Amino acid sequence: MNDEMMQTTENRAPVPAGTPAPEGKAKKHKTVASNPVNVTKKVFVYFFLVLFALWILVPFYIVLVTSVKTSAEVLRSDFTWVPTEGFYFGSYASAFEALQDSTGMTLIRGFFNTLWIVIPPTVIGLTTSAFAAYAFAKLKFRGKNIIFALLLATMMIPGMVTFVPSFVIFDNIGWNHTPLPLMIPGMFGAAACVFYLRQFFMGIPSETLEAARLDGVGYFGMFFKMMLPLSVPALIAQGVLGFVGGYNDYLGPMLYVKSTEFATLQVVLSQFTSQKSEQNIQMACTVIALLPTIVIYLVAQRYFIEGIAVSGLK
Amino acid sequence: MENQEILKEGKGASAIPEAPQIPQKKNHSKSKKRWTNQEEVMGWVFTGIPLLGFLVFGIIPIALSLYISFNHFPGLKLYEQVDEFFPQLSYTITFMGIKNFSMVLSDPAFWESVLNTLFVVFTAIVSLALSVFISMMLYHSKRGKKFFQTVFFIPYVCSLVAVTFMWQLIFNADHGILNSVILAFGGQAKNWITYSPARFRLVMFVIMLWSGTGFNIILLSAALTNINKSCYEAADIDGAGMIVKFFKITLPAISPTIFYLLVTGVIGSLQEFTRFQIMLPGENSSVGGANITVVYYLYQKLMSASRLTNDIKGIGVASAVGWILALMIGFVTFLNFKISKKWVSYDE
Repeated sequence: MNDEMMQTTENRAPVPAGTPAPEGKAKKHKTVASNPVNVTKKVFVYFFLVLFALWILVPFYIVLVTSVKTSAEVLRSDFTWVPTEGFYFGSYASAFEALQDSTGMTLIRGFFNTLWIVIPPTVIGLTTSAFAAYAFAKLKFRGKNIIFALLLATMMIPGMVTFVPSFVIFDNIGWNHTPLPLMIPGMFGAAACVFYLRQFFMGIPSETLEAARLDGVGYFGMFFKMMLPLSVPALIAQGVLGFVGGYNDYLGPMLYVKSTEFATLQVVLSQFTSQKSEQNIQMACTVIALLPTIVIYLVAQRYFIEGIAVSGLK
Repeated sequence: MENQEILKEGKGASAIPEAPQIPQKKNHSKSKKRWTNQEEVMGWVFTGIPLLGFLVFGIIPIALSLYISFNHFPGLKLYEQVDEFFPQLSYTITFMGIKNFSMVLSDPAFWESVLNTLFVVFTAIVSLALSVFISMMLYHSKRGKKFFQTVFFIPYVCSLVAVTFMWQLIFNADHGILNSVILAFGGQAKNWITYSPARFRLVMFVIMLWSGTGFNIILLSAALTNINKSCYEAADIDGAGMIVKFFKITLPAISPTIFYLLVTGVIGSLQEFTRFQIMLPGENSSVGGANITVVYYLYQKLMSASRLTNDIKGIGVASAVGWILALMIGFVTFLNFKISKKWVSYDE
């Protein structure tokens, strides 16, 4: 059965020259899983998987190896896959130096700014979203459906409509050049997060909550003692996704905190690389900027996949 | 009557002070009644916070945006300031009608940016097709599946700024790896990034393809594993061929996911900014404006509006661009839904 599927994909895929075509053989052994067909299939599948993995990974390797080359070596026109003049870590030391402008920002400072700008809204926004999701999933109140529909509508509005007026409003109330426009809106929760958590909370049996209610547990007690502990995986999933999104955000910080002491890592990085022309230093900066999210991803991979897969499959 | 009153209260986050006024129902025991009222209040408070955020950071800016886009402002201030002695120092708002919109729509640079953005959309569609193929490969693999999945997803968590720098290094004209590989094979080194619009687009295509597949593959893999295996077995018994099986079983089964990815991918592509801005900031004559996407165009308009000028461009024009982009997004989404009715199957 799998062999059949295999050929299906093969037919619609661009088959590179030199890839053996298993078609004739497969037809003969339609229902019998014979060895030659299996082997051909395996070769075919793994050929593309390995090729694709290389396509993803090799650029990282190039960045990494460039970052540990000496400044003289990166200027040579022939690229080498290993540093020929030995490993040089001075580029990392240079990467941590301050920017040569009025702000004197450093990557470290940018990193802590990012943490300060991203973590409080993520945590608070997650809490408010969770409370709302709890209400939508388990509480009965009038107007619930209307409020739910209104929140649903927010997801339909393209962010670009509010882009300019928000900037104007924030400028008029003196929030421009402060991190507040990047922090405050997120604290009210996000509609997508509310729906995701609501879906999760609906899976928690109401009988359990009813029993707690009869025991005299209040709404907050029920939320903190029962809903939250049961939904830790869902909360982590949303939390890491929110954090990574905020960490990598560029347009927002560019608009509001560029060339201020609140500049985030991404903004500092973009300015740093335009000031430092040496490629090894540029790539050291890139490695430093990439590392935190990749580490978080590798550690919390399960939550990433879960958070994304659920949001995509309704 | 009573219900409607409560409904009004519940919409705002101001439900707490109003709570004691909630009319008591007669036919319930006292404790049950208290509980029910409390439940209503809690429901409004909990859901009221995101709703308040939606009003303050969603509805108000949208309403204001309508006002802004039909007027001209010399700067960012929203109120007029009249200086009687030095009239040239006063800050006056002038009604423009649809002039802001017609100005944008008659600007060749805007249409250039639309074209560049459509190219991003095209890239997203290609990357979706590639993702379907790779997900099929992943579906048929056994050993190392987890490893491949982990690797394929890494680009999704990477900062676009850093990723763009990464590819800048690879495409670098002087000592980039690509040129040195080409040289090693006896070819000629090329200026990839700042030579021509076509070559610049090729570079951007590669970058977007590299970072665009991870998210798709995760969702498509999940969708593929959810397909009921017995469908294939039944098809085998009927003697269905491989092409028939792909188009009659696999594709319909994952079509809702493909559709979801198409919609989100296209909407995301229409708002592309970071990679283009990092790759080539500002105007660059050598690529003929191929580096300006619609959001980049909007960003430039907004930045020039922040500097106080009596130039006719201003936040009014920037806001008009925002509306045009939003309408484009709305139109594409609508179109997607229309087309999807023909081929997306939601049977399961």
